[in-house]
Amino acid sequence: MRAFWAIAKRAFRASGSGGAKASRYAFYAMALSALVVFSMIAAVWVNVVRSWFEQDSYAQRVVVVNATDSFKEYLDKQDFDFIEAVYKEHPYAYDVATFSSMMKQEGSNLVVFFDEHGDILTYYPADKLEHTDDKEAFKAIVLSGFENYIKEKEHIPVYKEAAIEVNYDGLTDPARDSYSDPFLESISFTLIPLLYFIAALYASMIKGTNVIAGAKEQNTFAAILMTPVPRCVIVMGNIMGVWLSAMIPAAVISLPLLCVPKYRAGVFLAFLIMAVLSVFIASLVILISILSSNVITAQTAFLPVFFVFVALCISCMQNPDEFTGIYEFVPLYGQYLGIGRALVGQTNIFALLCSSVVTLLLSFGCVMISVKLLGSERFTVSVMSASDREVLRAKKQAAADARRKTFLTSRCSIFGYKPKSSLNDLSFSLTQLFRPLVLLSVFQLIAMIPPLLMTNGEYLTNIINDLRKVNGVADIITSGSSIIGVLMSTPAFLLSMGLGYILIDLYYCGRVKFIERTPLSSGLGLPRENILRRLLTGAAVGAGMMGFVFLSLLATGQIKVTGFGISADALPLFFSFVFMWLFQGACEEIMFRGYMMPRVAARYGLIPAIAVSAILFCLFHGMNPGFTVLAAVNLILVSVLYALIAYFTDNIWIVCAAHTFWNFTQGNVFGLEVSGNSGNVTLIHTAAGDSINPWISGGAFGPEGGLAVTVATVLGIAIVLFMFRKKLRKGHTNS
Amino acid sequence: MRYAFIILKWEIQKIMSSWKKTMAVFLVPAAVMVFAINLFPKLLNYLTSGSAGNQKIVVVDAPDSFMEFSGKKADLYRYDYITSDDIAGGISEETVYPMVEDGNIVVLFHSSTDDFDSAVREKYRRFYMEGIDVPGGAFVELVYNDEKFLTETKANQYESDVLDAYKSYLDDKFFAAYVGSGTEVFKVDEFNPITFILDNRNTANTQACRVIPGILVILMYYCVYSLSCDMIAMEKNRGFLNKLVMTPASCKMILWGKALATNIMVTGSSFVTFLFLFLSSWINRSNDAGSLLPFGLMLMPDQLLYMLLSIPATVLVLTAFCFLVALELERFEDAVANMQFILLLLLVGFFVQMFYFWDPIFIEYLIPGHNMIVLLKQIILSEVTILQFIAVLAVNVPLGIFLMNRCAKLLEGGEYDRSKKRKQKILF
Amino acid sequence: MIEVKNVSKRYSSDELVVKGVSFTVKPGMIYGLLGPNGAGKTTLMQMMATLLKPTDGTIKICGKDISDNTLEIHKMIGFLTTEVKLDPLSTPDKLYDFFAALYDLPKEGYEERKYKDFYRFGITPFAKKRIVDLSTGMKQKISICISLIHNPPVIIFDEPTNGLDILTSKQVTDYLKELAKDGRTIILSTHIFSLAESLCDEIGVLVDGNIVASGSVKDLCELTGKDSFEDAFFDLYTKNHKEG
Repeated sequence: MRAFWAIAKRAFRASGSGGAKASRYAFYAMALSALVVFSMIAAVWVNVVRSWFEQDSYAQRVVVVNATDSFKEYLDKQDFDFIEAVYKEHPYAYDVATFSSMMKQEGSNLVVFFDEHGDILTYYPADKLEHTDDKEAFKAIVLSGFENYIKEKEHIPVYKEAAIEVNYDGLTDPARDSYSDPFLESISFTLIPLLYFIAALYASMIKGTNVIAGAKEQNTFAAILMTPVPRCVIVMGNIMGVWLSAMIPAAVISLPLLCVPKYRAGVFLAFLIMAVLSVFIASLVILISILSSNVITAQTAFLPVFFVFVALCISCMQNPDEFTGIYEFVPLYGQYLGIGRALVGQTNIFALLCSSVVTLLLSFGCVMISVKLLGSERFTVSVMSASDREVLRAKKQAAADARRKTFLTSRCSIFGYKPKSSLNDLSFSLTQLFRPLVLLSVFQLIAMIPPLLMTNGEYLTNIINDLRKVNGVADIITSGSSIIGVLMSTPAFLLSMGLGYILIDLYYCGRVKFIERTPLSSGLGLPRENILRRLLTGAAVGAGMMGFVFLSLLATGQIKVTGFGISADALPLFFSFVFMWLFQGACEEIMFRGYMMPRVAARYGLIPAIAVSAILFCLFHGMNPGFTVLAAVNLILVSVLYALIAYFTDNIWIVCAAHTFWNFTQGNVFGLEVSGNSGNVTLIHTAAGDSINPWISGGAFGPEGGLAVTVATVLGIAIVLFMFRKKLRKGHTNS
Repeated sequence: MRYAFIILKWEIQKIMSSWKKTMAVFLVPAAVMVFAINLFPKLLNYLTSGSAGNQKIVVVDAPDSFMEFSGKKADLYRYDYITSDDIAGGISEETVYPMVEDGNIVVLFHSSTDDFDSAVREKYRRFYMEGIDVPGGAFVELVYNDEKFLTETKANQYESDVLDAYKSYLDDKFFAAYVGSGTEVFKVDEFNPITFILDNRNTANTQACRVIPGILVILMYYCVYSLSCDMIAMEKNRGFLNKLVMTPASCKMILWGKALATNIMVTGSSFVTFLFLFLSSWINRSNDAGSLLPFGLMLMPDQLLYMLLSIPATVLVLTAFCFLVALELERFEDAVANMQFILLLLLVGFFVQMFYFWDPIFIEYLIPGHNMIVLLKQIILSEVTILQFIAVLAVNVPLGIFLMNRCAKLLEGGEYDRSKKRKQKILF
Repeated sequence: MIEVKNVSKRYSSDELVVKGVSFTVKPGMIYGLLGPNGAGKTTLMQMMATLLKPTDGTIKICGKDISDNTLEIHKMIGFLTTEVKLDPLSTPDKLYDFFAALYDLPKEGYEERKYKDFYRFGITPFAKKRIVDLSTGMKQKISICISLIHNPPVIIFDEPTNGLDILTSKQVTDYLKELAKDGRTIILSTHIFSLAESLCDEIGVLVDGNIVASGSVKDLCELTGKDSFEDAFFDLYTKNHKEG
């Protein structure tokens, strides 16, 4: 018993940040916050004074584009003194760039555009929020007047009295007892119990986390554990101390309540209820404190409990009537409602007793768990000396390093690549997955900007008109592809796409060379020898395979040739395509084959490397229009083919060229769709044949979605495997 | 300079090496903020109306025209359709009150004649045929609970969302029968994504300017605080700081290295937070009255630039302050407790900002820490001027440098470790 | 009287830190555990003090198994380590009262006893000062004073002179000798040769969780055939320590 009180006293006195020293800089911060308050008060006055001198009179200049005659008439007739209209003509409805330059030129903040149906579009500068209000004012005054003007002109009568009348009716509870003070009653169920709860929770948290977790943190807990005091007394003593300190704020809150006559009878009962609740809270805090090794973790762990309690309070607060009945018998709810009921003198003794007993039982459970936990060394105190801890940590580190080393000795080397450092699995996979995703999406988005800005608003208008029809996800994809389709026919877009691909290529080269400090030959599979020969081989492979596909399509009657040659004015576009394909092929190969494959292979082996690069390659094309299962299979097969070529020949020059020529011959020589995107200028004009079968021709996705390509790539893979069978066997024996 | 760079690299590596820490610095503040901003309206809704979701609209005696009318009706509200016969005891305050008690809104249709629709039709007929413009005898009664203070706003919102559209629908339906065609002669901004976004920006930014600046700066401080606890207070406790001081790196460089590391991390974290907020705003398509961050938050490039540049400057001041406190006080707990004081400064600014509609006065730009809140508010309201921006930089950067120099002096003089001297006194 | 039999300890699934250690310490004897950092000294000490539970093996103190009679054991041992600190905001006086209550010291003659204990260590002038404001040596003295408050027959001492100046450590070692003379069992761990040599009646050399040799200084020197104790230790260490 003596030990119990000693521990309780100590826990009660334990101070957290109490007795902390103050820094003078902290006082400066206090002074500054006082200054903030002061300046805000000052700001109110300044604003009042300022408003005396402000006068609002301005004439708004409005640029009216394609104004209808009736609108001009209307403005002339009305002669608004605050509107000054400037008339302009412009063909495209959504040409924001032109409109903003018009506004700048005229010093106006509003453009009103009349489209061909007589409907109106408005534009205003984005630099200030107040322009929105100006626009709304214009709409409300000028345009609604214009509507009436038109109606009058067309002899449509305008009525002024509304057909239906909307009335508001706020009701108050008719059943409320007019004699009881609603204010006192409502705060007895809302504010007061909440205050009680929060005070008890806060006080317990501050104390409880400090006593055991704090002692653990300061290494003083072992000394107490070494005394011949039973663990349950240690727990109970601490709970007692925490409980005592939680009861102080409860008492402080209770005292002023005694002054309210209505509450006087119930305050003592409320205090008793709080005493029961505080036991539960205290045992909960002590349990958490035992589970944590220092004050900060204990407090962090307690915060959710805090929030749960407060959330419970709030859920009771709204409609105490709803929570009567069974809720009164439940712990926490019972206490909350009990306090309210005690204060207004409607105590339900039976329910209260019931909830109190349950609460005490719960606390007892907490105590039991705490005592059990104190028996386990994990939660008592691992008073290992600092040096021991260091040694243990060093050992663990060594074990982890050893595990890591198995990764560093690469499983399979492609291009002779040897990894230099190793990330953990998660970050490795994330970087492998997201780097291409981020790079491609960023650069492609950037590439879309210049063509949009360079043109005269026609494209933008087309695009927005396309968007107008959007109703669902399918529409978004179709309109998105039609936008891409529109853009594909502009050299500017192709050039900037090509530029983007160049930047990605440079990024990878720079990364490998300067950050990973690996030569390009082994890091990306770009050796310096025999570049031209390899490129030519690749070109032959790509063009040959595509030629095979084209011929087989032609032979089976899927397509027919309609003409030859391109016109002179399409030449820039044609060369833009060549430029784009050149770097697009290289870029995708560098990303998926050159960079990804050796790194994944070093970690997980050759087959996972090929699989991962193939699947990712397939997924990146999965957003293109007309994507089907067969297309996915084909993309994976093509990817596997390229991967095998790259693996056996130890470079990616060949596959870069093959990729480029595959796309180029497909889109701009034979005039077929490339992975769902159509090329517009082709050397050989083709059209769908008479006996079209989407299983062979691939439909909207182009031949890459059809069986012809499947056959070609399977043949290609077989040939490659046959050609390099020696190397394949050697590779097997090696691994 | 080289040493500062070494320390900077070391600190950043230390944080980046454990993904938990990295998350704690980068994602937790952002997630907390987005969560709080989205949770708060729900909570407010709950507190004021008693249910977490959207309240029901109880429609009594709906006319056929209302049932046919669709508009935005079903997107935002849930409905219960009843007739006045369903209400036992007829329509009176006592019988209707239970329906609105939980924050529901009751829409009562009634008219001076038997039928609501025919009353409307009659009004149009008299107006068109006889030229008599009198109020129609059709009434819509919006009943709400007066004891729950946001329900009236809700009723208002319902009128503007649905009933206004319903009125023009009636116009089209009944009046058009007389005039031959639709009564609407032209549409304004029927499909205009650009103006749509700008219109929404207006509401979103005016809402956002109240909450975001304060929370953003407070979260910024939370990061600075936890990082400088880690970098200075903890290391001092463990004696690691002393080891650093013993190296040939000067105290100044050590501190600048640490401060820059903090700055990079916190600035990055703030950007991530802002990005999250931006996304959160653009995902939030319900423009609820209580929503703290409605659809369409947007900043112009120049405003973004102001923000990007002023954040590091403010972080510098906050960092210098935390370092100073951590160096001055010997006990870790003391340092932690004292660092809370600047939080007070920021919290005052934040809470006042929430209910404060006037333009800030110039002094406020001169209060370090607080000036960032004010500047951010002006930025989001797009009323920022270059003068304000310069004022913030001119206060924060020199003050930060000054405080950093004080820190270096404290560290050099060993003045920070006063406990040692006292120990010696007692020993001999 | 301490009997340690085949005691092993493993921290969560890692390798054994203490590997089947056995030894006996008789009353009136000072037994020293000598070993490099990380050899498992502290773990062994903590197991004897019931703070950690052995994974394997038994420890008996005064004939009682520590895992069965934890609270009785607590009354019989005084455990002291430099790692365990004192509540920084408390005062020696308050701490003494607190632990006196926990050990349930008799109330008659309490003040006298307190005065004596404080006087012995020279704490009296600082009895009302906060622990934070005291020097490391003084803290250690208070720590010793409070651990031995209940006059335990067995004293377990982890690194007794760690961080103390020569004067204070001399005081501590003298006190230990005095206690041993009284017939108490003392076991201490250290990595300081001179301390082990001068203080201990028997020394167990702990390398990688094993006691590789045990005996008096003379025995150990004879065993290895070296002249000095230091050489003997290094010999034992290099023979038994495996790298990695």
